[in-house]
Amino acid sequence: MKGGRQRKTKAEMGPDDDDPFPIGNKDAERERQLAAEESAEKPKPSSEVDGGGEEESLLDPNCRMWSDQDLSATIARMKGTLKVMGKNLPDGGEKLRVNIMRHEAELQSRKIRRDDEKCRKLIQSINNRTCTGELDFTGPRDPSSAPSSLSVFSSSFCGSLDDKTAHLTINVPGKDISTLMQCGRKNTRVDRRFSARRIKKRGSSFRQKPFQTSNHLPVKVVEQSLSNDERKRNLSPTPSPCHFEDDLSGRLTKKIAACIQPSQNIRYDNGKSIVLEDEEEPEVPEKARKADQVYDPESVEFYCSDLECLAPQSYLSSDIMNYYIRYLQKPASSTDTERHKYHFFNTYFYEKLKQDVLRKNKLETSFVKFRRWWKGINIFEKAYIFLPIHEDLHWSLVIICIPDKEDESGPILLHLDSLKFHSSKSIFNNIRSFLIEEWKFLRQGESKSQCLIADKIWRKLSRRIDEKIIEVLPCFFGFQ
Amino acid sequence: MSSAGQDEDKKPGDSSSHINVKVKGQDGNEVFFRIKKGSQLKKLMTTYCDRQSVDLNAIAFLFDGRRLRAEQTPDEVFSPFPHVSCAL
Repeated sequence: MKGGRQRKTKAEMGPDDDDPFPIGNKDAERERQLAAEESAEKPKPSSEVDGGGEEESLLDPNCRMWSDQDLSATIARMKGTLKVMGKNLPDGGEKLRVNIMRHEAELQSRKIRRDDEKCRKLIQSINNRTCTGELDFTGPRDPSSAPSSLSVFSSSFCGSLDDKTAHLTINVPGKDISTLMQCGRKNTRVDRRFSARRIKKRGSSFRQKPFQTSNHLPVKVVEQSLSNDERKRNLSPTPSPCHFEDDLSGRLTKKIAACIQPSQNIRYDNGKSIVLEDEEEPEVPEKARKADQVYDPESVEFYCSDLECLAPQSYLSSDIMNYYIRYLQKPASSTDTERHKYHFFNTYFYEKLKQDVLRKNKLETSFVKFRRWWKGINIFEKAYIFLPIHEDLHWSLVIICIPDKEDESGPILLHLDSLKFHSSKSIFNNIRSFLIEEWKFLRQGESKSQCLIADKIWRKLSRRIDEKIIEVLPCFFGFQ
Repeated sequence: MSSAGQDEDKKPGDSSSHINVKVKGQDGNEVFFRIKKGSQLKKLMTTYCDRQSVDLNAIAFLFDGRRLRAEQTPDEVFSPFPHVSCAL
């Protein structure tokens, strides 16, 4: 009894705590607490009743029928009696005291039942809101329906978890279904079936509401491997195999995140860095994880919504760009020697390069760390290095041409910018200092592997880097 | 949709089951996480995004230039021999 009350108080205090998380989380937090409250207190009343049952004979048999006011009046009366003549009684008022305690217990258990009921009603109303978009303010529900609602919830929740385990990918909101139909017809059937099922479930899961992201949650299309046949064939937006990640996974994650919040130990250091500690068990089923471990580390993951950026007059996203880069790198033939002559950096590289170049208090280690971006690749052994640049919603390309052994010239930097939107000068400066830094690093640990560049150029490489701006005519594919 | 690069750096943890992960935003802000090596990075990513009030799909988490996926675990990503790349 006491424990139950304490728990409740704590749960009520929760949202008022110093919550470092965004306000939007508070609703979710509240719901979670309600759920915790419910589950924590659910068994309580029954055990209370059971406990009371043993001593039923001592309690006034009519007591259960009394109203709350009657009960409290009786308690007050008995307390008065105890006070006035407790000492004069043969047992020192012991029996009276026990009686008072039982009456209070009954009162308390009623209160808990009421709270429980209230809590359930709230959940019901949330359910209805989720389901129909209306709030349910109708009178008290038939108490007999309450336990069943709980079990429906738990079963549906377990069901959701099962779905996650099976890695089914379902419940794609209407808009995305149409997208899917365009890009992966074979999946549509499955999709519809499951979304219907999911909608049914939605009515009974109160957790769904706070974690609903359906309107903007894109469908996840996962590229598994570059060697995939379908990918070799064409660049049509039907990458295979497709995973339509259930929006449950998003919800599940948020749920996990919400659950770990109270146990997180948050510390502010200099107002900049924050330490998050979570000691929670990973709630992700082992089986589901195993299935995910077969990825090609170089694979590019993007969403169906990313394909929208291929439409006219929209901006290309990094994901699509990276995918195209990977597509260009796919082996052209089995005797693929050309491929080793060039290296593509991904779209995030230049940003990192800029950070590295602009870093004021440079440490030796920072460049060593940065070098992990092209681990295992000797830049100066490649013929061409491609460096996509994405700034201000515009794309341009830098090509670093590394000279052959026979060449008399040093490396040449080419900047191709169709709109001349990016400042070639600063880009050249950044890349030049990057190249020099890499050159210095390689010279320190001089190994004779850089034989692609003539020795006399290699020795003075830092002064031999040329720059060229290449004119690119804006090309509108639509008019060709 | 532009993707903001987020860097993750591994810091040696004091216990073997957990790992300290530093997430460094492009603005230079650093957030430290301490997570189980076997738990998916999704948890870290969503917490980070919630905290920074950004959409999970709008940013990219990178480690050594490779984009991290939500399903990956620190064990897979940050192990001493992270990946044997065998793309054809």
